[in-house]
Amino acid sequence: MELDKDNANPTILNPSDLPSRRRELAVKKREDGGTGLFDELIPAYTYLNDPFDGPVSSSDSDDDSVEDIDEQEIYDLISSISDPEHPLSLGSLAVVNLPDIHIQPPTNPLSSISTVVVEITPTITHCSLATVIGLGVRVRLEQALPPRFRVDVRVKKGTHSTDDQVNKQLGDKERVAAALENGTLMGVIRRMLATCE
Amino acid sequence: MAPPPDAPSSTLRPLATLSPPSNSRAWQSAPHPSLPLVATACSDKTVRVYSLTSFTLVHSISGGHKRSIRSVSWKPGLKGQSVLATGSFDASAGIWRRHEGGEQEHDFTGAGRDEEDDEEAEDEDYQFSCILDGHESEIKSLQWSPSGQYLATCSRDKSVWIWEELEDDNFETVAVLQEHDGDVKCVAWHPEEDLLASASYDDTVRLYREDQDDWVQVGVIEGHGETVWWVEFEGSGMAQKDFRSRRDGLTEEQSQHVELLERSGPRLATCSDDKTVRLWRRTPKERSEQDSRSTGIPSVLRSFSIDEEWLEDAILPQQHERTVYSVSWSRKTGMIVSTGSDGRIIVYKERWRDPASNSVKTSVQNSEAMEGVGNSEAKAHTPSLTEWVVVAELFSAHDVFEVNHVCWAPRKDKGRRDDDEEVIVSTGDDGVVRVWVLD
Amino acid sequence: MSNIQQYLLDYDRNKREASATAEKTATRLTAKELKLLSLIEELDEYLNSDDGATRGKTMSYLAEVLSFIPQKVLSIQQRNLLCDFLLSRLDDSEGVGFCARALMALEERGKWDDNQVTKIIEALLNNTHPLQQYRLQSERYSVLRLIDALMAKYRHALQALHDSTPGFMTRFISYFDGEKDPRNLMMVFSILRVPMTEWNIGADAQELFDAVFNYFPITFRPPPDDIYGITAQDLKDRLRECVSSTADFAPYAFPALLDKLDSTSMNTKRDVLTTITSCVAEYGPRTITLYSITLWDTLKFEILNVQEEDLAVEALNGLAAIARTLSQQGANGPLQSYLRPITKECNEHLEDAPTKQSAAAARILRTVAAVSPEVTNIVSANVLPNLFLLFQNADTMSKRRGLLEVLVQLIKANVDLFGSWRALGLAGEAPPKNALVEFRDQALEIMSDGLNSAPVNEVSFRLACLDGLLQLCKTRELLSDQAIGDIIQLFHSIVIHEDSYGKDEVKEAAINGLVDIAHQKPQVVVDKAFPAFLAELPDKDDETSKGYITVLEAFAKLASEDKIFDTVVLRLKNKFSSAVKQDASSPYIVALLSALLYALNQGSERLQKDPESSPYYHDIVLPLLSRTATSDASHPKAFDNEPTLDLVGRICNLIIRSQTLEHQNNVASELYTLFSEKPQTDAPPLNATLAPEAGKTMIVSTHLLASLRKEATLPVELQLLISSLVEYSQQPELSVPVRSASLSQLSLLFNKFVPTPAVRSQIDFLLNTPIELFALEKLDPPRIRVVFAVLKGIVLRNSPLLSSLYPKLLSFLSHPQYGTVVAHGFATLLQPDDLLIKANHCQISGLHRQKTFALLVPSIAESHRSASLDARPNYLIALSGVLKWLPFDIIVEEVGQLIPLLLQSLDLKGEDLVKEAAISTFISILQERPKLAEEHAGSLVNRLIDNSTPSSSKHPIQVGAATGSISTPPRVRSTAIKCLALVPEKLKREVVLKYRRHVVTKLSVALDDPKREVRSAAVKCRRIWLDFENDDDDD
Repeated sequence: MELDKDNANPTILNPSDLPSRRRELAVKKREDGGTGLFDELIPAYTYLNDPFDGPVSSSDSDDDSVEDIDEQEIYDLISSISDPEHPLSLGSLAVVNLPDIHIQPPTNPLSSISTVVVEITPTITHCSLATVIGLGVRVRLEQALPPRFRVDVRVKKGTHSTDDQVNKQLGDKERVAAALENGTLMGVIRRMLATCE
Repeated sequence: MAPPPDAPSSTLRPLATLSPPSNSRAWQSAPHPSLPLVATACSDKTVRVYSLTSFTLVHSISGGHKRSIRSVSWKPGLKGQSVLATGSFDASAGIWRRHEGGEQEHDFTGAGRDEEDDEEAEDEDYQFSCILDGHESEIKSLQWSPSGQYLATCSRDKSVWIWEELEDDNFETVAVLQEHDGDVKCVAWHPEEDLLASASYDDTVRLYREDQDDWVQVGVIEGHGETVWWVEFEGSGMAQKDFRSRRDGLTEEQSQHVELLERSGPRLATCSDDKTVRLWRRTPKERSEQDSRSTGIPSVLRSFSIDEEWLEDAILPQQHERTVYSVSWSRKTGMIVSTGSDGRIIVYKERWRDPASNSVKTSVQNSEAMEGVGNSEAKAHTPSLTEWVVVAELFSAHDVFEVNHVCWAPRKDKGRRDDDEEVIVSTGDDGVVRVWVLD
Repeated sequence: MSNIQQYLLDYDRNKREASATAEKTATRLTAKELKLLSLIEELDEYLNSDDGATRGKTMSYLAEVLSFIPQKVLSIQQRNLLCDFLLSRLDDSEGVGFCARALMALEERGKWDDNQVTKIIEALLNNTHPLQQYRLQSERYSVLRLIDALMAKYRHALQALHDSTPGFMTRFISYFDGEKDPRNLMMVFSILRVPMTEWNIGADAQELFDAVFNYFPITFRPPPDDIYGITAQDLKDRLRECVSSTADFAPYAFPALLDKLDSTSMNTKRDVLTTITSCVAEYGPRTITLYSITLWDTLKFEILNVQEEDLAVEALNGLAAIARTLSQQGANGPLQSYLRPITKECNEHLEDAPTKQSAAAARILRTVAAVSPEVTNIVSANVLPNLFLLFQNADTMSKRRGLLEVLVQLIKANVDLFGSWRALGLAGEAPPKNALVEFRDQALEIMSDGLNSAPVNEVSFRLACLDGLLQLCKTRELLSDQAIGDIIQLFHSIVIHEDSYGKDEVKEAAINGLVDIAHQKPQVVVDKAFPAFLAELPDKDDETSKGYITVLEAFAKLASEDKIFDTVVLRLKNKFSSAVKQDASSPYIVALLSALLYALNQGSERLQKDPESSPYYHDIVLPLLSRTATSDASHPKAFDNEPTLDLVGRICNLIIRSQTLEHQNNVASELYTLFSEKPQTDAPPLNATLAPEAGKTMIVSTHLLASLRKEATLPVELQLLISSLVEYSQQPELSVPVRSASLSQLSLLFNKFVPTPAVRSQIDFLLNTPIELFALEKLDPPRIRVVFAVLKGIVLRNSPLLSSLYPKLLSFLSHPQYGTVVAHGFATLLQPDDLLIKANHCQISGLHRQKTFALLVPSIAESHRSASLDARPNYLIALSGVLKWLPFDIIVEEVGQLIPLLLQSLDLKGEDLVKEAAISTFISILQERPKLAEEHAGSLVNRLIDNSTPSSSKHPIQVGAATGSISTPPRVRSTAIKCLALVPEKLKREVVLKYRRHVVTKLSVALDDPKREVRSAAVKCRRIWLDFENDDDDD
């Protein structure tokens, strides 16, 4: 599907500057401040650990700790979606930004339903693809988040000429459902999501 | 929101989960007008027909549509056969027939109403008998008129179509109504008159009737702040069935109020993206017209303007936190049930306001709370004499999933307590249809 | 019957016969039995036959006859005569091909003079023009070959013809009009290339150009059964050679090519760009001067708005080619005027950096600048001032970063050309002056205090600064040692003093930067950085801070630069000694030893270089060992700590193992006494009555034993040593490390030091009384350990005894009490080991895995069936213990039968490692032999789903943490999910389709897993299943 570019020359952020949990994963923060360079000195299969005493389970001490789904995780899920008109990620184009992602916990003790609100910032105010991008984000999150989450994707106030219309469309479950049965549209969406890790 | 001070008087008890469920989203369910059946529209392009006595699947209707089936409606008033209309995202409506062959086994469910037997003969299936093309995009809702004479359909193409069935499987388009400027989400027929209501993405509800062989818009209801998802009329003659039936010991103005409602006829319930459920009441016209209504001859009307004015009668206590997708009005008790994106099912009932009371959960309070959104006439007759209270509130009716539709149906399983007992049927994103009883 | 009649007869029936006849005629001619004239006369009747076919065949006959005649038989007169005769036949439309062949044959039998050649060409052009009138491609081919041959051999004749005959070229070119056949086209191209390259074509240039360019772009796709095997590429190449053959084409070529560049077909664009590049290379500076700017104006778009990456690259090549061609004449006007618009436009794009286009600008500048010193100097002069200006006025960090990236690119180009301190650049020994010098200080300044003063969260910006500074340091003869020193200072202060942030990319880059600089300027690094690092390393640490770790890590990394390796090791060693003297904390000691070991590892190959007397042996090994061994007051506390001793052992091992046998024997004799004067009988393992802590030296001894060559002389008689170790290792009060050490010594002995003939006797010694190692009734965990330690030693050397020992081992699996312990032991047999390695002179047979697999797996599967229900899990555990370490290609043939067992292992409760192993086997199965899994798809999918959630509860959604103690751990969960993701990718669609909705629904539980790692696996997996679903909806 040939898309005429609304913004031929967007500003691009450098990956190193994008917020990411992967960086924290990359270096397990150690109390001694080291990077664990010396840990590799002792091979993984050192004679020192005894298979007979060694754990029969691969479980670690922190197995019972819970890592809750948080804004950063949502960001990681959608920032790698690629823009339909550039071979660039929504993160590096600053279409999705960590501060514009909010998770609202269940409002009632009897309910387990949380809400994710994502505000997207189109690269330019008249970007005709705002809806497609929004749809992509919504689809990605509906595929990737457990069903107890309600996903609200909106265009950030004042960043788009017709943000109200776009928001109303993105909010309309029935329209989204119908859109997902549209082969061409889904083709575009799937290409956008293809770059997600 | 904090749980209400005066806790709901009743609870919804799960009676059954119709099985097997569809493994994809289910949109809407319609109880059969005479048989103990319910038909469910599913996004896997099928309609699943379940028994309300055994709670199991008796038919799976497929092959007619290329996209999700969004809406189903049984044709009323038929004997010996069932006719089902299906509306699909593929922009077409389908008509299905099945001969309910006289062979009636006995109903061992103990309900003792043997002619309403659900053990369908598996051999005979629903036949795809004709297709109604015309809409440009997804059909979102359809409904037969009470007489069965008309079928109304509505679509994302912003139009409402009325089809008339001249003889079997021969449909004629009698009207294409394009008053809305947004998707039309739902259509509903008045139980007594050929009056059609439609709800839309443009936040309005519009009403139509026939004027000199020409269907025209006769009223607009504005007041919801967002998309109106569902519209449904009150049952016929509810004043004899609900709390109003006890006339003794009514105050003067209470009697007047009942009389007023009598004259304006069945009310209209709507629900919306704005998280509210609202009721609307028609301002009655002169006596003559009242008679004309009973005789059903519109000719008299001609001397008058056919335009109708519908006023906000009440805003139900606002219990929903997200879009309210569906609201349904019991034909037996006048109670209302609503559900939506927050997965809750709320049951409300109307009662005389105790003048002393200043309950938090009254319609008045709400209509004031809704100032600006609520339409001005609403406050004209406040404080209203009646109030709507929550009788039951249920969280996570379909686990964590959204609930797309809820409706009342007669209870038919062996556990039923009396002939008039009703169940609530809810339909959810998890593809499951659940049946609830009110205790 | 005359030969010609015979020939005509055979022609269609039997070609070979026909040729034979022709050959006979040839021999008769040669033998003078037949006169040439009579031959011709004989043919006359057939050549005038009304039947065209006959005339053709006759021509063929003549051609064949001639081709059979040997050299020198025909006189020049005869040949000229024949030639004229043949030419006279050219007016006959039949048999032109054979006529041409005949002429070829004639030519091969003697050179012609020029006017004969001229005649031939003229005759061809007059009678057979255009060639296309002959339908048969083979016929045309013969003619083309003839012309091609003439072109090759009689260039001057033909050139003269062209020069003397007006309009010749036109007829010549049009002669080939409309040729479509690929093989012929190849011919035409090479024929026409001669005038293009050699003749003076002036006026005919355009015609000549059009003649070939009509075929551009080549879209030909060779037929499957193409007998000539000519590819589209062959045609493309030859056509490109034509187009780029002469500068005379430039006026027509460039407009035409640039016009074609608008094509929507990527392939056409690709051809255009490569052709442009070769034209630019061929046409030469004078011509290119005229077109350089036009070309730039078009090519740039391919780079500024990339459609396909390789097109952008080709366009860049084009731009570079132009610069290269133009700079053949030095930094002259044309080069200047070509570069001016480029630098101008790039400057403009820099103004809104960082954008796609500023990035593109950087690419352009870098590619062009790298062409030659002249170019890079001009580019620097035109771009850098503006760049610095923009930098000063930039309002955002990201903009500054964008600009720096361009700067860095330019410096890199500069290094390519002017070289680094260690290596010359393309400009060679004596390059022209480097324009970068003028900008050196400014660049230095902005990047230095960019790196210095920018907030730590400006990662990419600071990385750009750091990279830039590094490049400056590298550039040959650019910076003074002083300046380099300052940069080093910047770097190490980041490493040492800066607080950690995010991924610590900057710190990392700074360290690697130091290593790079050390490669260029080792001494400066030693002088500047080392004091700074060492200053951070106290002799005695105050237990509280561990700040020294980062410093040590960085410092140790420096050892990777060969030039400073020695210094690093030396400094670390000294620091260590003083720390020990000062009695520093054992964490600090451990850290120092780790750093030392790391450093030594960096230079391990140079350790192997001088096995004779390694200085490290005396400076490091001996002191370490004596410290370990001392038992009096001088004994440092740090050396009671097992991790310390392990490191000591590893360091010694690293140094000793490459030494010669002689040197090693010095160590061997002190294996257990470690150069203490104590008698050996007081040392473990010989003295089993020692206090536990005295046994700790065993850890060091183990590493020493590991380092020895198998010829080394052990201090104790072998069997005695074995029995002592067996006894010693079974002492209940041993610490785990010491016990494992002793067991490893057993493994080492049985692998290295028991000579092959003696293996059986030593094993028997263990089997028989008093030890009776394999006696079922004596079985207990300590003995089981010994069993596996011994086996591990001989497994690696692939001893034949295994076939008798394994069955015993398997029988233990049913042991009511210790069956499970034994089962877990199987995992040790093939587990990689850090002591039993080739570098430690161990005997490791390439086939030991296969052997063990063959001996164990089938019988495990076998006995599993017969085993009692409660013993069965043990067999599954043992099985997975073995499979776990086997490369898939070993098990692949048998794996089919194992699948049922593997599936059962997935149901084991609490045996998570077993599950994990089983799942990874399934992963390999799906990747390598998906067919095998197909019949089990259903049960596999369900079991994987069961293991995908903490508690395999059937409840669809469960929020928050994993509850229930005996729950599936995260590792298993995520592996199960990863495996599940392979199912739709690897198995046949129809097999999997029916599970997809089930999986998609079930996986939504894992989407809510308490562990992030599991969730992300679930997300990926679910998407694969969903897409798979979508594909289906499309049809």
